[in-house]
Amino acid sequence: MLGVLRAAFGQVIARPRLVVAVYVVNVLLAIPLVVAMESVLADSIGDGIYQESVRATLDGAWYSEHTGRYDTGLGSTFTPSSVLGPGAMLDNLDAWLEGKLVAVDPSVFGMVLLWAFAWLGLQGAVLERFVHGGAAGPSSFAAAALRHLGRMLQAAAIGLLAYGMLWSLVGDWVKGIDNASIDVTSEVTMLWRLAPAFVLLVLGFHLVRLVIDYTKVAAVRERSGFVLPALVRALSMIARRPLLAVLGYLVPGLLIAAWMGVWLLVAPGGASSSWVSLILTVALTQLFIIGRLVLRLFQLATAVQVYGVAADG
Amino acid sequence: MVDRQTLRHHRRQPSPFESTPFDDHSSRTDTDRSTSALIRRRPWLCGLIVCLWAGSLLAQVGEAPTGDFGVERVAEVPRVDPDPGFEAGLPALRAESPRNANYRIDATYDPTTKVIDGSLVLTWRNIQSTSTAELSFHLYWNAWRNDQSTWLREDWMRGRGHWTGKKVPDDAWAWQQVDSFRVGGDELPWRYIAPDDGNEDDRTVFHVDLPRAVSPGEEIEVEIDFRSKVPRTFARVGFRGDYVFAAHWFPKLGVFTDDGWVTPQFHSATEFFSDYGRYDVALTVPAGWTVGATGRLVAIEEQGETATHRFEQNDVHGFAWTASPDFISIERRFERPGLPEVDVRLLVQPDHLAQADRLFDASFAALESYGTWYGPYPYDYMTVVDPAYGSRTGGMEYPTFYTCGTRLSNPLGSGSPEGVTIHEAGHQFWYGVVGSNEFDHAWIDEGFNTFSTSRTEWVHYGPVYYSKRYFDPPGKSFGGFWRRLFPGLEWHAPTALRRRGRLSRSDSLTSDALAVPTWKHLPHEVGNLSYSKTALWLTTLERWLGWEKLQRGMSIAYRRGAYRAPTPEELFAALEEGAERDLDAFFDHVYYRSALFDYAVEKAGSRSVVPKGFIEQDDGELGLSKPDDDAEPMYRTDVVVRRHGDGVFPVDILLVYTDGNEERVAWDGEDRWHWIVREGPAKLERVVIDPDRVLLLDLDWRNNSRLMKGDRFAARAWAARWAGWVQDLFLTVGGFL
Repeated sequence: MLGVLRAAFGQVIARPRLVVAVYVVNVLLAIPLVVAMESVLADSIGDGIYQESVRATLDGAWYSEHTGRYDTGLGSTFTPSSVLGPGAMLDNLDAWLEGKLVAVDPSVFGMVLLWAFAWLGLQGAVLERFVHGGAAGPSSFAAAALRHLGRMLQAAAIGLLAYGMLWSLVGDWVKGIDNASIDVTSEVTMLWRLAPAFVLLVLGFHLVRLVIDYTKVAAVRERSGFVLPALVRALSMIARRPLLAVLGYLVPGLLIAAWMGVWLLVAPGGASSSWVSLILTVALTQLFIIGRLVLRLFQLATAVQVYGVAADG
Repeated sequence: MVDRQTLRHHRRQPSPFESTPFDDHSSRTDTDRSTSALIRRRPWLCGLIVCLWAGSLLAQVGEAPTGDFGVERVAEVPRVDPDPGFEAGLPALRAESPRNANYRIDATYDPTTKVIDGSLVLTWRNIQSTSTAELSFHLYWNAWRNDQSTWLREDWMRGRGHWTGKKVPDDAWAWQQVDSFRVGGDELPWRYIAPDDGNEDDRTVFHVDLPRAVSPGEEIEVEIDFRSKVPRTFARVGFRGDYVFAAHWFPKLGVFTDDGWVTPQFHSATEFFSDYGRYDVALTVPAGWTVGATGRLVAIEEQGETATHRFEQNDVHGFAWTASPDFISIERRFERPGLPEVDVRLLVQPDHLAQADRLFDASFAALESYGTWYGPYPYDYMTVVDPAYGSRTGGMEYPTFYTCGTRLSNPLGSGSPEGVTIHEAGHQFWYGVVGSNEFDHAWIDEGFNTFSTSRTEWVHYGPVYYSKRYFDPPGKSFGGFWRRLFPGLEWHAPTALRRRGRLSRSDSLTSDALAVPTWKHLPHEVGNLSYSKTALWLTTLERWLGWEKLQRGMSIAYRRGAYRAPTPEELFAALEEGAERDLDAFFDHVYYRSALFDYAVEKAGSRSVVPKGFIEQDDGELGLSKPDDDAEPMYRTDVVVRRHGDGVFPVDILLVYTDGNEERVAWDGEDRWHWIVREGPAKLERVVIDPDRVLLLDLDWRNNSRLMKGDRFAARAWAARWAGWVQDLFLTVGGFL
């Protein structure tokens, strides 16, 4: 297993341009929204002394007016938790947990959809690079992204179907638990009753993702037009080498979790009153984003290595 | 992070179960050892973590607001202590209430059927100057008898929708039945009435014709046998498992005034109104249960499987109680120099035992602040209830008895459970001692108390920070099991600033004037008007007149209003007396009318006084003007300000010049616009209307000022910070793909 991890890590480290490519797409797609948000905030702050008080700290008086002015649309996505400390990560994780990521504000939804397509394409190209060593230059990288987009879309569709079922199943279960707990008077008891639902959700999510990751690897390896056979082969591989398959997914997954845990502790929580603190805050945030991307690529590389070991003997 | 000054208020003594210094030392040794090993094996990882930490710390350097923004960002921390001699000239708190509605109640709660079976003897004395030959009673719980009641119809309009869209369990509904109504041993007939809306399906008020009139000063004794089915919670009354909370659970007499009986139906957005009296109540519940109630517990008598708990209290206008086998009862005494001692009993859920200190502290903070500011708490007893999880009975006041409410995760500095505890404890003053007709004037107790709550929070705890609850499963919101504090945003200061947002994003200010009886208000705006608007105009008065004058006025109102329901006019007179000035115009705007306040800078700028174009030359002929390079530059500054709203309030206008000089211009605020012209050696740097933020009802502070050389740094900085949310959102969504 250590050899697999070392090889996977080596694949990511040896190809920094992959990280750069994925990161650049992430940033480029965020920029239009950030520019639009800057206009919203400039309007909300106005040309008076809020410029100074909001510059120094997230002025509560201004924010209460801002929420009154922008209770829907892009401006409504600007909340204290979205800009302070690890709040952005927590907000998104919370939305993930509650199944509310699909309910993201319409003003952001379009760009999220665009990212979804871009990310699927990028995954195809990255896997092509890891599996076949191709897609080395920018043009061949883009071509690989386009070539594998169909496969990635099919795999994502299967995954989304499974996630939908999982969230629906857990949601119904939670409602059932709630109805059966109508006379529970202790929060601790309620938490214990809900704990299995939380566990099922997290385990179920990662189980689906594990299968889909190996399915993508199989699809790219074999360049199959349809993903269903790749799914069958991925399941077969997992059945043959379950420990290896799970560890190959779990170790990078735990590293991602650890990275997010570190961010929870060190994310700058205050406001920006100077260029220095702003630059440092933004730089640290970008470091966190890059770290997550690197570790996700590491997870994909590990899947490639594991699949290779299992398939090639 | 919460600053040290704030933490000082929150720090608690270590529990004997916490680790000892010896434990600390051993664990540190292990940690040191493993850290050394990690550094040896993974230097790059440790370096990365150190970099993150260092960067994080550096990024927070200088983040505390240090600039002078030309405004007072938050008011100075107010004092608890009044001026020496504050009480001089103030009316004394009356010794006792009229005690004209006295109840003796004997009731048994059956936890299986959830029915309270009771009988009461009401002794009522007519304290008005006219006779009456009728009586009028509330049966509040019939509001939840079925969905045709006025309460549930209005609740739908408020958008609260108790049980809306859900299958209502059979045991969720409630009812109240009068089985027997006797006067002088004679059974009397009674009938339901709906004096407010004529809703024939509403059963919350009943009327009785007496065989003879009750004259002024005369007393009448009424005996009633009744049964009340406890609901699953509506309006913070109900049961959950073995926990039960009962308020307004018995037939309650209305209030007789010179204009007749005031017994409104139960409305969704308003509360109650009753006469003061003595309550002597015996409650029988299963043995082993803990009971808390209005008044002092005077006896417990066990009878095998049941136990009867007897409570007594004078000079209150209601009686509520709670019972549960799970409560942990803790008693402490409130003692402060100059204030009467109060025995405080806390009934806390086992889950929340660790927060008992915080609940006591908050209750004591209210007793100290309100007692010092307005007048003493005249009862010697108080019971604080931490309600059962999920019971939705928290955050409600009853005489000498109130519910707070907390969760497992409530970090210090989040304002919870301190805020709600102070608020409900504060209602013991503004609701308990000073009564009010809450059907008509909900703003009196809620508004005065909200204002005082914010002030007390500020005095005792300092800033409250923004926090957010996380960790809910899909399918159902449990309110989030984990609360995280974001110390980067002071969420509300003594001014209850965040309430401005609520007003500006609703049409409350134009929906109804406060003078309109509250039960006639647009139901979903009642909270904004009663709580927020009143708290904001009181804070405006504080900033305008000064705290000492407002405090004096409120103290006069408290002392004169004790044990009765003062009219709004009486309260305004007390505030004017404290202020030593006529405030009619102010009350006309904020109470009698729905005036909107919005002052704005329309135009502002400076230019050289040297004319451009043709001027008369020394020879008397017209010629083009030429700049005099040797002369000191002089500038003409023009500022035009406007009054967009129909509300009028005197405001200061602050002019700050580039040489640092400042000037305050007083404007009575009456004209629709006002033009200020100045000449001087420096250009205008900024103009700020109402720089001290006195007028908290000004809808839009954004247009109150203008910087001559503004920039977009703040917008850019925060948009850049927000980028992290978008990028993280992409990655989180990507996790599914």
